[in-house]
Amino acid sequence: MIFRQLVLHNFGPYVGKQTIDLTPGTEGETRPIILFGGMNGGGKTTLMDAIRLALYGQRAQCSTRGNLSYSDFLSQCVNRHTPLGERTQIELVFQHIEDDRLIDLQIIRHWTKSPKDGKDTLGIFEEDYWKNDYLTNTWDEYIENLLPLGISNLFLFDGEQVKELAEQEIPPPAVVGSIKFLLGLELAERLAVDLDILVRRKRKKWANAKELADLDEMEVKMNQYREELDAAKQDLSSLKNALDRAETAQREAYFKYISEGGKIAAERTTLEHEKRRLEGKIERSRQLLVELSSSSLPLALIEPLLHQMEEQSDRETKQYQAKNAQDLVKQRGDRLLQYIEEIKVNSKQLAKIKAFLEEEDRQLHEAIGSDEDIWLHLDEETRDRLSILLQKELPDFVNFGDETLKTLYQVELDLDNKEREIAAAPSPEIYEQLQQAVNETQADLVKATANYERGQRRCNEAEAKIEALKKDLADYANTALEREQDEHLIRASAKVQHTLKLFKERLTLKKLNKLEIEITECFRYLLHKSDLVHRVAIATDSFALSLYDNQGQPVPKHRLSAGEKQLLAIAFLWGLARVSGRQLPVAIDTPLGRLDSSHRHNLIERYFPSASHQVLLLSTDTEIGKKEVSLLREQGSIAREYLLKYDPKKRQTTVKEGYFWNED
Amino acid sequence: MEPPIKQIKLSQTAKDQLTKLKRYTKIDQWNIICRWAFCRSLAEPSIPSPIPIPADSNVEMSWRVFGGDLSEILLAALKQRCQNDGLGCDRETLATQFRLHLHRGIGYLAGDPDLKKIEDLIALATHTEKPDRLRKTKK
Repeated sequence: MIFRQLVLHNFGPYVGKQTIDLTPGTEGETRPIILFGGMNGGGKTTLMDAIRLALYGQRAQCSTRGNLSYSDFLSQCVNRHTPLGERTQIELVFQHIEDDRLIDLQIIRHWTKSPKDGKDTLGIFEEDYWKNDYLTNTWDEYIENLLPLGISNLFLFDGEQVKELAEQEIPPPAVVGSIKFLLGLELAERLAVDLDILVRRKRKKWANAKELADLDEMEVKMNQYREELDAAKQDLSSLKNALDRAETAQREAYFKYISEGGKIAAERTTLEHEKRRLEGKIERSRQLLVELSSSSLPLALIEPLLHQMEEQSDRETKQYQAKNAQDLVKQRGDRLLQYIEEIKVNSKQLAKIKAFLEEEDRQLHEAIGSDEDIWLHLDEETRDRLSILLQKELPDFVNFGDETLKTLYQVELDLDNKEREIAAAPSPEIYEQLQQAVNETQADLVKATANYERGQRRCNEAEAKIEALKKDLADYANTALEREQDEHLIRASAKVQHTLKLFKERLTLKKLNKLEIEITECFRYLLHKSDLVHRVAIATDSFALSLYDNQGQPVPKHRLSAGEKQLLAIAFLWGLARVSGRQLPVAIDTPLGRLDSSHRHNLIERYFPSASHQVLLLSTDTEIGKKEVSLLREQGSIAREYLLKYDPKKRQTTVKEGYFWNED
Repeated sequence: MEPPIKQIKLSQTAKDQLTKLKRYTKIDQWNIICRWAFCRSLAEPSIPSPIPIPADSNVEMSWRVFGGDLSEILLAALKQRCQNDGLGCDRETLATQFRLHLHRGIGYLAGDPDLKKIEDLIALATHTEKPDRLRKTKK
């Protein structure tokens, strides 16, 4: 990582736009040092603050911030001569390698006297300076990967910090944190903490989880449910049979009802119809008989009497005729007697003839009979009627009546047969019985269906129970597995913690060994009394430094001079930077305050050029004086020189190229 | 020939019996049943008992209505019967005998247990044999 350019707008004592090119080295040579010259209060520290602020914003640990809130600090950083409407702005361009590619990033922060929301506005611009919103939003995370805040103090440090580090027995917490971070100890520690958290969470989870159900119990239950299911299934099959039977019975009953009931109904209809027909016929015959009854038929009852009447009538007629003939015969006898008298027949003969005729008359009269025998007195018409009656009318009527009666009797017999047939035919009761059978089988069917459904339900319930139990078992398996895993994890974690502790210790030892060696090397390199310290040891817990001489005897820290302490601090920082293995720029603010010329020389000659690939060196004219500048220039390690020129009247600083004595 | 009675008035008993017969035979005219009753009695050889017969019903008909076109024959038959019975043919006798025969005939017909239908009446004249089965099954 290389800082390329710093641009300040109305920041602190810097008025207007001040652009500082920070690019180190020119081609070929390594010229890491960017030298800033400035008197006290000239704005050297402000320059450091600007870099910190640009990188970390709100999180930056700036020298002048103290306990100020960020917005107050921002307000304080605004130059008092800032023209209205102009804003305070810091731009830092740096170069770093990402994905095997060298890229430029530009950080721009700007704000005004009264920062809105108490914050600055950040913009990250990439490569050709187009804004990268994603980077802008995740800047804090991004920069933490590049140059973590925790170690920034080891790379961007000022004399104060060095002094502090030099004078205290134990390094300040910020430095301790940085050291741990640098040494990679933080990772192991965080891992241990995270592991603790994980274990605690798992413990909590299982503390709340109820005791697992007993597997044996579940097995028993499962068997019980299976038995239930089997029983239910058996029941169901028998119920199914019953249902089938009921269905068949119902179907048969219904079929019978339809076919036989229908036949009966049809037969009955025919029979009834026939019966009605016969009854009608009988009715008609009777009608005929009623009509016949009004004829002369009753006379058939007295047929003998009628015959008698006819005979009597004949007799009477004959008598009547005989009477008429008798008169005529008498007249003829009289006339005969008269004639005989005329022809003079003897009287004796005449008397004989007279007697004969009288005898004839008497006999005839006797033959005719008396008038008393005539009493019927039928007239001609009645006689004819009687004759017709006897000879034709009555026999005809009798015949007709006889035939009609015979027919009637036959029909009545038929009707009787029909009625017997109807009586013999299946009665409506049978029909009802059939219907009743249908109803009964229907009821049976309904009952069987209900039973079957109940059985089915029981089956389903048992199956559902089994399913639930199976699920429970599966859950049980999963839970048990998970629990076992977790328990394993908990068990293992203790071991891991232990291992981690060991790892941490070993790592610390290893790293600290390395650090010790580096620091010792650096310290001895910078120190002109090279026999003073043989070995630097670092306490593993507090990171306190202790020194040992050639004989292996500890050298108490207070025996070191202030300059030596400062050198030790610088060596400490240098060593740390070297151990960290990170290619980061180093900014050093007035580090030479209390050093003698020999040590200064060492520092300038040995430390600054090789502290990093980019070293921002901020110095007063006494620290890096004419001699020192010459030395550095001769070494060819200075890339750029700037003079921070402070105008006390305007209370403004301007940045100019060159160093002190350049004008001379 | 002059009828012996101009108006025939029946007894209440006879009327009741005739009503029953009318119901049985479905013959709805009094005179027709009366003709049958009269013939029925004439057919009986015995002489009707000379009993007093009240004329206490409202059923009344003329001889002409009674006899219809058989009036002459029926009268002659009555005469014949009276003559046969040796009662003579005077008006008085004929009238009496007619009432007796008529009421006796009505009684015979109404009292006949076998006479339930018109066919039973007709069968009296035709002598048609009724099948046994019918006889038995009839109530």
